[in-house]
Amino acid sequence: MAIELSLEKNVTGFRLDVEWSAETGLVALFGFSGSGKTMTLRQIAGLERPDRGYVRLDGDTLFDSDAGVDVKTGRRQLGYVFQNQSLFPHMTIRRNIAFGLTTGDRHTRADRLRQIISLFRLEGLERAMPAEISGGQQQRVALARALIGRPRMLLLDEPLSALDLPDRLRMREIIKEAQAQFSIPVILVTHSFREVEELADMVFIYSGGRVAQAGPPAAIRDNPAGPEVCELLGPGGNEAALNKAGRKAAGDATFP
Amino acid sequence: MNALSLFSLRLSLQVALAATALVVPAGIGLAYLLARRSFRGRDLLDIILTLPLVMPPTVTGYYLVIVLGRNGPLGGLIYSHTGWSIMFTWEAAVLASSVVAMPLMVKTARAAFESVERNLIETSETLGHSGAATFFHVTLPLARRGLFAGATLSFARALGEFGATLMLAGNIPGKTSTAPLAIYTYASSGDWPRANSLVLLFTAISALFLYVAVKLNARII
Repeated sequence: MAIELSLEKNVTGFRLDVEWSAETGLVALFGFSGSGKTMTLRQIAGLERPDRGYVRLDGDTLFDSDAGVDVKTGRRQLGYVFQNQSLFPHMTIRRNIAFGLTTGDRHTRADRLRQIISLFRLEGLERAMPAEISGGQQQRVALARALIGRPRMLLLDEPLSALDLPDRLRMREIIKEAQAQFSIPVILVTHSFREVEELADMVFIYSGGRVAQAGPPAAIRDNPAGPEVCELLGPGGNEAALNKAGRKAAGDATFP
Repeated sequence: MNALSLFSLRLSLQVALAATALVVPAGIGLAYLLARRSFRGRDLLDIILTLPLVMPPTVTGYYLVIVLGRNGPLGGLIYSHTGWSIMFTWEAAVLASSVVAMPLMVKTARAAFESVERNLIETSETLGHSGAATFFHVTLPLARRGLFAGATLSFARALGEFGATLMLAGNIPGKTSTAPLAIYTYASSGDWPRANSLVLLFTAISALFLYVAVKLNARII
């Protein structure tokens, strides 16, 4: 098992209660906003603390409420990319990326920086400030910065949603390449099932703080578990499955 | 311009600089605490730090005299151990100016810290940086304009301090009489030529300070 977790958290008007595990590969958390996807990601990273539960990565415990384990965010060795505005506006692109490197001597750091800049095709932008480059380039920089320190896992919080279509397509390719290159587990939060189908090996469908269904994207597309999941897949979803589920629910497939 | 007037001007600048040097680091620390940490008594600390902004400076000065006077709880302790009292010294003027300038630094710095995107601080944490490294490399540089504004306001407030200084340091010519106090003395004794020249010089110094502040601010962007 690459990652195993169980998370319980009560906040005003919302309860997160999920328990799942996944092998290496790209795992997508899919659902409407407010369903607990980002909260899950933040709790994996240690940016938020669950009321109860555990997070284990390759058998190492990052958090366990019963055992009193809570590894600090900075020591979890996870790469995290936020939806937007995550580059340090006062640092050049080069410094932004280098800020992800906290170990190694000057020589190895410089080598590593050169490698990652070329891997993410950011040559020529090193001296630019974040405000001077496009949204797509900014997310590439954020990804490079998250990966330069060789994290054990990569967490992506809707990294494509603020991008326009061409940037989004290019970024999808880059995420695939990065995953192949680094071969670490990736967890992607998204509200686009198209992205899920394009990128993910495994998807957890979130709804109201629970996992409504889990499995490979194609299997879920072919056989959604009930009207709730159908509605989440949207108008592009499988018509037959939608009809089947729609009959079962007799029109009460509402979602907040 | 006589020697006492020049002394009062020099003293004013000296007091304002010393007060700013005290208020800026302390204010940054307190503002960061108020902006980023939640702890018991946070609201109370906020109120205590803001009070000198609301109260007349004479009231603030009165409290300082009560606490730091030779018979006060803190002043008495210091006096019994060292034989020294802060009352009627230039250090008293620095302390009085610092207390009244502190709210301006804390309020401005707190707003500056609160305006730094949480994402950026969390990103720094996920990249493996400690709280201190994040503070010095991310939070502080991103809040720098607000911090500079706070320092400017504090210096300005300290330069013009009158009420609390009068209470704690007194108005001793050649010792604790800062320019605002000296101007008051000249005016109340009808010595208009001296009052006029000191007022004009003080105005010129204030204008020069504002000019430098604007120039520096433009370079900070």
